[in-house]
Amino acid sequence: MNDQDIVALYFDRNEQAITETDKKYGNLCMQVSMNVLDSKPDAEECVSDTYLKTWNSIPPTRPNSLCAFVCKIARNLSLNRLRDLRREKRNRELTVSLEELEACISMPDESKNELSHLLTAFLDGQGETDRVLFVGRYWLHCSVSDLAKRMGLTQNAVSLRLHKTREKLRVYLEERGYRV
Amino acid sequence: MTRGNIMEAMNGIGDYLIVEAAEKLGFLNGSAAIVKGRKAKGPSAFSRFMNSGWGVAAVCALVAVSVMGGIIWAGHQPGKNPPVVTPEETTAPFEIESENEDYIGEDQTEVMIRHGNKAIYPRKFFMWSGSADGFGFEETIRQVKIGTPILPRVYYAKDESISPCELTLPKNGSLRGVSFYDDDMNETAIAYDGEFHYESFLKDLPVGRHHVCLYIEYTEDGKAVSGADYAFTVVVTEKAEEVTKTEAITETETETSQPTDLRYFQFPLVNAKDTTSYISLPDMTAEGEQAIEFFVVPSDTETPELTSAYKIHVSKDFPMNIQLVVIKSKEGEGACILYRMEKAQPDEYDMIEADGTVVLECCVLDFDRTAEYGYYSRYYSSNDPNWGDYRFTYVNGTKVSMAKHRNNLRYLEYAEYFIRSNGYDDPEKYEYTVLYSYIDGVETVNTPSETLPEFPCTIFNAYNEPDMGN
Repeated sequence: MNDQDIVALYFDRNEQAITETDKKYGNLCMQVSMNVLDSKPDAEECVSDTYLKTWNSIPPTRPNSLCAFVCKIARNLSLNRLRDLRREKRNRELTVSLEELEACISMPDESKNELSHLLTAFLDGQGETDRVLFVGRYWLHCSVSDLAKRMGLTQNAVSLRLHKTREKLRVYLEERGYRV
Repeated sequence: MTRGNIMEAMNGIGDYLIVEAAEKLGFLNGSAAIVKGRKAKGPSAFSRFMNSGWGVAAVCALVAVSVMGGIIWAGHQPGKNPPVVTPEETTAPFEIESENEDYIGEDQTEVMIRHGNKAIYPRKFFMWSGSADGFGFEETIRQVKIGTPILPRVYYAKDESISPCELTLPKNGSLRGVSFYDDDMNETAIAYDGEFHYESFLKDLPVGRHHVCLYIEYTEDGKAVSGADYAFTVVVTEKAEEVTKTEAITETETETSQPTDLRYFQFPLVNAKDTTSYISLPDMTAEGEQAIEFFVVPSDTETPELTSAYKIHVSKDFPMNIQLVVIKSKEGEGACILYRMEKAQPDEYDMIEADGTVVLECCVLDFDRTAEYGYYSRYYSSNDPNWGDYRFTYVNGTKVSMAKHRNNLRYLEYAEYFIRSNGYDDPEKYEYTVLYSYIDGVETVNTPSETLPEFPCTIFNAYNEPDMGN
């Protein structure tokens, strides 16, 4: 079933929408949540919450991309969940991936939207592999080893590609007035 | 800034980027991850090439101008970008991709390996800057894997009769990545960012041949502006005398070939029993016309045989590297010698100016395998930065045919074989003759041999007439 049909089910308040969403994007949501939380029970809970939030959001929202929509919900819920859990534990992969980015991104709070646009523009200019690796690492929070496996690259190659992309991003942002 | 800021900023990136990544990484139900092929099973072509011995008398033909197969110099039509080549099967031993191939011909100081007063330049594969994407390390490894025979070679004897060589980095370059590979191109070690001590590492290397890939990052005002990949080979022995004859000769001759009194330079003899010889003359800076002679030693007579002589023009700004490769051919079909001279400029590779008129490049043959060999290099021209895509792939040492090698054409959707002549720095004078051109493995151009320039030739034909189009 395509996304438009699934969204139509949501608008019709047909609970089949959740089944179809799970069928199509359940794996993605679970993966994102697992990457953030590193805990299957917590991730499953977040995925369930994702469907509930999606159900409550559509309508009135009509997402351009259902995939990105549910994925963002899953990610945000997972990050919120992580904050709750942080007192008890730390997710190493997430911490590491954020630390990597901190080295090349610095901004005042009010510039978040602008930075998002810049990030998008920057990523648009990258090669597909580098773009996928970057988003996979810093949005989906995949581990380097997981990225390497999925992309058929060595971990070394993934690390170096990410390093190069971060360096390019740093230069890119500096040229646009961001302190690095 | 806080991590919350970062996450929120990342959260705002375009939806399509998320969808793309999820899809390509195989997160969507039903979608498959991109699994780009890795090395083929079993010994690599490179390994077998490096290890194979001579079985037949060495024959070298350097002057025959013929389109009847042999090694055909291949390249790319100026101003025309090659199409993207996508492996047909995800299990391809390696990938070829052609996106974002804008190379930067910056005038960077080179990485150098020093043996005393000798300087050897690691072969640079790729370079990129903040304004251009590059293949990077991965591609360098791939190039090594597919059998580029011209990695500069250095030697180290564990009894220190041959001392560890010194790796000299440019002032504005820092070592950001090092990987070691064995002959089968299995990664044996990785080191990064200052934790890697070249000499001490050499001492710990087991006896044998190790292929080293370096990733150098260049900085300006303390900021990284570009990077480049370099590769070379380290041969480690217990004692100096264990270095093979060819290697020793190469070593000795390299050492004694000083440019100061060099007007006429003669290559050292090459032991044809060995598969590869490598000669690097990075200090060959004597300006003006110089002569080069090529010799081979037939395995049955051990008598040197002059095979060809060329004149080259060396300008003070462009010292030449000269590399000579002897390659074993199929049993009973003779052997051939390839040579390669390259300008030691950072942005000039794989190019030869012989007699001031021709650009040559050596290539690799593997007669035992099919379509495993490709050679891909790039070249910059200050006049036309769009020049420079060369892709030539050989199957059984000659051009491929779609019908016969269909299953092995994963990397050969495009190939162009051609002869170059005249000055490559001047597009107006640049002439080339396309011999064969393939798109999707189908021959699209076949120029009659009579249209080819007579001299200098860029074809070595030292074995039987190749399989043409079967």
